[in-house]
Amino acid sequence: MADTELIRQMFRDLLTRNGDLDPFSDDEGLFSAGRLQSIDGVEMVVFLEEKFGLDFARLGFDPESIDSVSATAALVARQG
Amino acid sequence: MTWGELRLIPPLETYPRAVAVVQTPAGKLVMLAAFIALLSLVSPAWVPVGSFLVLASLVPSDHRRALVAAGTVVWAFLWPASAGEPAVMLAGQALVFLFAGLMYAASRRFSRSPLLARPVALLMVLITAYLAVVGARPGLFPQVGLAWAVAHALCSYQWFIGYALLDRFASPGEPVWKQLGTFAPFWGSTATPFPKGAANWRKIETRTPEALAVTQLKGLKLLLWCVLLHFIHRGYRWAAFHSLGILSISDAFRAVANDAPLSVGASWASIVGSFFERLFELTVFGHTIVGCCRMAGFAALRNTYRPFEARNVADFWNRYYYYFKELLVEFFYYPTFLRYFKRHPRLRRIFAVFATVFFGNIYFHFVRDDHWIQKIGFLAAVRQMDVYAVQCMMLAVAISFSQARRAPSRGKSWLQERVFPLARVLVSYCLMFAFVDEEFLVPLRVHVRFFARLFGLNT
Repeated sequence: MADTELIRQMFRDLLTRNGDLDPFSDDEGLFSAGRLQSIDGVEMVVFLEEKFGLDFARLGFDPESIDSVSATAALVARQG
Repeated sequence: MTWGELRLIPPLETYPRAVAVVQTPAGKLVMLAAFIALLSLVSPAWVPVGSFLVLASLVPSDHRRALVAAGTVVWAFLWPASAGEPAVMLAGQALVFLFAGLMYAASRRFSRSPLLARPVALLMVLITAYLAVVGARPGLFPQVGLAWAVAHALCSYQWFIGYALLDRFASPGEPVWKQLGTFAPFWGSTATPFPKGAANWRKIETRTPEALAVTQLKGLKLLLWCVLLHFIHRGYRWAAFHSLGILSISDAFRAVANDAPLSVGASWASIVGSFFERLFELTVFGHTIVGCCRMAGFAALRNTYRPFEARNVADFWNRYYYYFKELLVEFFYYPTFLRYFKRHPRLRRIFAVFATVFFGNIYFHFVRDDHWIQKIGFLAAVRQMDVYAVQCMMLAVAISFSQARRAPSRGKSWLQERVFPLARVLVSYCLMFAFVDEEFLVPLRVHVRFFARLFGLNT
């Protein structure tokens, strides 16, 4: 639960940084909808590495796995 | 929505009545007729594309992918774009489709095998090695033979195969025929897939009649905007290159090569004029494809989106040619960023930018322009990339800087927030245009002399 809130906050920060203050749901694909860009994906990768110790070089990286809050939370839960 | 659309094209997809009407047979017919009429103004392939769009609008949504796959087969095998002996070209296409299907299936089945752990890198190595062999020297293999037919097909489909390989972890996995069905769909593509692989298609595919109606109205709106831009572009071209007599960038390079006098003002006019010319071309081209993709029932993002709202060079690149930028990011940036210099954050980003914008960009264009390898041989074609390498280096440096400068914009005036950053971006891109020469008309030293003339220097 706390992990999901951290992830949600990170998505909120990325959107705010881009001037996007619209609400979003946990299941909304923010990258595939064009609200976040690949450079934001890099920020998300760094965040997941630092906060949750994920190593994408070992896991393999699928951009779909960080497309939404729920997809990212599921990824973290699988690796936790 | 852009300024032009805000004034000229109403947001049809937000009107419940319009969404309801285009779900009726008569409404759908009128919308398709309007779309195809607009398409005829910007696309020479409007008859076959329009026919498939009509079919895609009529079939139930669970058969749409099969229809698009059929369209891909028609385009690849019944109406191939490549020049050459038809039977041989078709054989080359068929072999590459077979290779792609086998490689995709193997990458899913044997994902833990060391050989297939990085299938996209393996694909690039295989294609480069193949080109090095068939292009070892000009004329080694017959120009219209099977060896070159396979080479052309490999180069045309490389990134479609690449996206299929990236999809190997997608859940649920896409069957081989759906992956092959995305290889240069009937609505058009270049070597850059519009949009991406089958897993992405699944995500953006409309599944209800209402979602289809909304997406198709967005497609119609985009195509209408595209047609308006097409005519503005024609006016611009006449005004800039005919009426004002601005030299095209190719003519400016030739003038410098021939030691003809070219003032600082004329040099700048040439690169600025050509930059906007390129922007118009790419926007109209991308909007046509994405408009058709939406009309076929896929809610694809635009290729060019509000480029003049960019705040930095990286942002402009993203807004100017989205699908190419995505391709480079997915095939070069992420793999590099995730593996190298993880303990050195700044170096990690810069290295990934150079791997993408410098190496990736050069590699993409080298393989895309395989006709040069055929004509002058592999090594000469590599050497010929020197001009483009300078442009890629400039872009890589500019993007590295723009990423480092990415900062919150609180407390800035409108000029500081919007105008100055955009001016910096446009000047940066215009300077890079001094090294844009896709037909390799003049050697690097001429480009350097042209670049120097922009600053009043004669070398």
